[in-house]
Amino acid sequence: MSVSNQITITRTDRALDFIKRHPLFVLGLTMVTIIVICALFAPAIAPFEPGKINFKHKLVPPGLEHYFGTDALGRDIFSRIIYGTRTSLLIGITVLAVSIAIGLPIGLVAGYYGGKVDHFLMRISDVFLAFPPLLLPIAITAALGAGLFNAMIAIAISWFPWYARIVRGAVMRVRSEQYISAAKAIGVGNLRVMLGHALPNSLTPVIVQASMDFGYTILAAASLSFIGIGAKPPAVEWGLMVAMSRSKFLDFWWTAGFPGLAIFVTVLAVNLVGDGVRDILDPRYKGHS
Amino acid sequence: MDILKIRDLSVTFPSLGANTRAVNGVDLTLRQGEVLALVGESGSGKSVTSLGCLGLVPTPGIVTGSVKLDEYEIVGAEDHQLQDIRGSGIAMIFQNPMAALNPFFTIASQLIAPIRKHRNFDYETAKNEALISLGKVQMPDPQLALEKYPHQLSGGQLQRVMIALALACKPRVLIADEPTTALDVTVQAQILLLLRQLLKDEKLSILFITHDLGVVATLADRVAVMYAGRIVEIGDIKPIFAEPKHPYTKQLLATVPRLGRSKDNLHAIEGQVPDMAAPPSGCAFHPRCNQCSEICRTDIPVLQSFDENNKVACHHPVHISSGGSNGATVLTNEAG
Repeated sequence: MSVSNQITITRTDRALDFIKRHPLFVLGLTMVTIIVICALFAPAIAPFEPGKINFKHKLVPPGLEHYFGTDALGRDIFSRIIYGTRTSLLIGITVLAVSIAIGLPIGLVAGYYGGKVDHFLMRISDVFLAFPPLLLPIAITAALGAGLFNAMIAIAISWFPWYARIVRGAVMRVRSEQYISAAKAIGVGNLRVMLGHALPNSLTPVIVQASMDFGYTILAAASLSFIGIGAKPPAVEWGLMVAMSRSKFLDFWWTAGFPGLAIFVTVLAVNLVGDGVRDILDPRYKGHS
Repeated sequence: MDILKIRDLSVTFPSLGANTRAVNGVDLTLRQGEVLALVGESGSGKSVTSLGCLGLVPTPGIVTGSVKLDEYEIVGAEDHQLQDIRGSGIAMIFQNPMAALNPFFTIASQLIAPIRKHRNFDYETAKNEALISLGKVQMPDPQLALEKYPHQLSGGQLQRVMIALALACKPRVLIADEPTTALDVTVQAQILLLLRQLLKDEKLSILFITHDLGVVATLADRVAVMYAGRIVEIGDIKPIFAEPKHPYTKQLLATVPRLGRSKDNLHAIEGQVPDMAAPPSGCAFHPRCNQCSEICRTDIPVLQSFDENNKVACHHPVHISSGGSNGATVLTNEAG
């Protein structure tokens, strides 16, 4: 073996090193990948149709035919959980997209201009922060009418001020950087400085926060569905599944147990990824996870 | 010919307790083709003065007085009007080149965009111009440098990029805010040589802000000494270095360490730069001045002509008869 071969670092070595340094991130990423595959190929993976009612097979315990058993209407819980990944991912993506779409421009303008503009925009978002976390979505959904879409909008509205605050803080830090003054000194306009220089350098905390909030939004939507103002039957949603089996789950544990486990696993997976993203993007957090 | 005229420029930062007056009635004139050095300790208001020339004083700073580029008034001008002046009228080089470029973008995108804006070039012409500019600042392999990100270049290379960027927009006035402070001494010397070379080739006038008196001696034609937001002495470089009239200038020159002098003789000016939220009465330098008398505590001295080239703001200017410090004589040699 030649000397050069001994010091060659292969791709496999690098991958192994990465796994060794971020084991939880890799675990979370694997779980998220499986969840995404379930959502994309739900019809191929699920053995039954999620909405198919079969009273002959109602409340069947987990077994070889129905892996996770069936519910009070004889619907296959495993299939419903597989289809439920679609709803959950849709919720996570929609809520985050709407919150960021509202919060980011507000934070950017507030942080960049400061002063009165900042006060005005931040006091508006503070109004939304003044309510306890789940109370505002409940109130908004109650006002808009129950339903999954309204629930998502409600969560997004109660959630955007966090993004406004994060972006504002990041932009305020970036604003005093010398390259911002330098860009202005060479004659670059405000809009261009804001979008071209301040924004890209402020995105890291937003990405970190979004990846950590993803799980929370799924949890919040499941909570709203559980208390009956989120998803409505025949929608396939995990929180709704838990709610529907409320009266039976002491005797038939699998009816609520598996949907609950699905929520737990998904939120855990996404949070592991979120923590990992934070560690990888932010050198200050290296070694503390 | 006077190109940049600063008249009675004051910058105040209001705060809850007391207002901080960072710049206090500064008068400066930059002549065509000269290098005017603005010298002073940290906190004396040099940088704020330079920001005032570009209309870049950070909020909530209040700017009064007048800064004119030719006949164009900069103080109070609208932001979108200033965008045309910045870069093509007055360009600025910053203290720390490592922080003055956006880490997210390549040198090319940061160099080409301003050239296109200010000179109305298409992309290809602007890119050529960028390459020519990088060549002028003696950047090794300009083509390769264009593709790099700021973190891939060294401090000296980045300062060359900054100078190229400033020059590419063909400014008439260049403000250099301590452009060599963050660099190694060897690189410092290269950048200064480069600036001197460019001064000959391009039609430039430079306002050079620094606290490094060695740099002043190598580059400047005239020097203005600033203390606590005011100009205390201004004039041609040789007479000031040889026979400083203001006690502060004299002490400042004496602080420069030199080879061959005993280590015990390292001179420091006693006391500290005054807090500009509560400046001393009368002459701001009087608490640290060894010539201080009663009038210094009560009356603010005005800047007046001492002889044809020099102006000084002091009640008791140092006379030639009182003997130049030995420090000053050594410095004259360096300056010459």
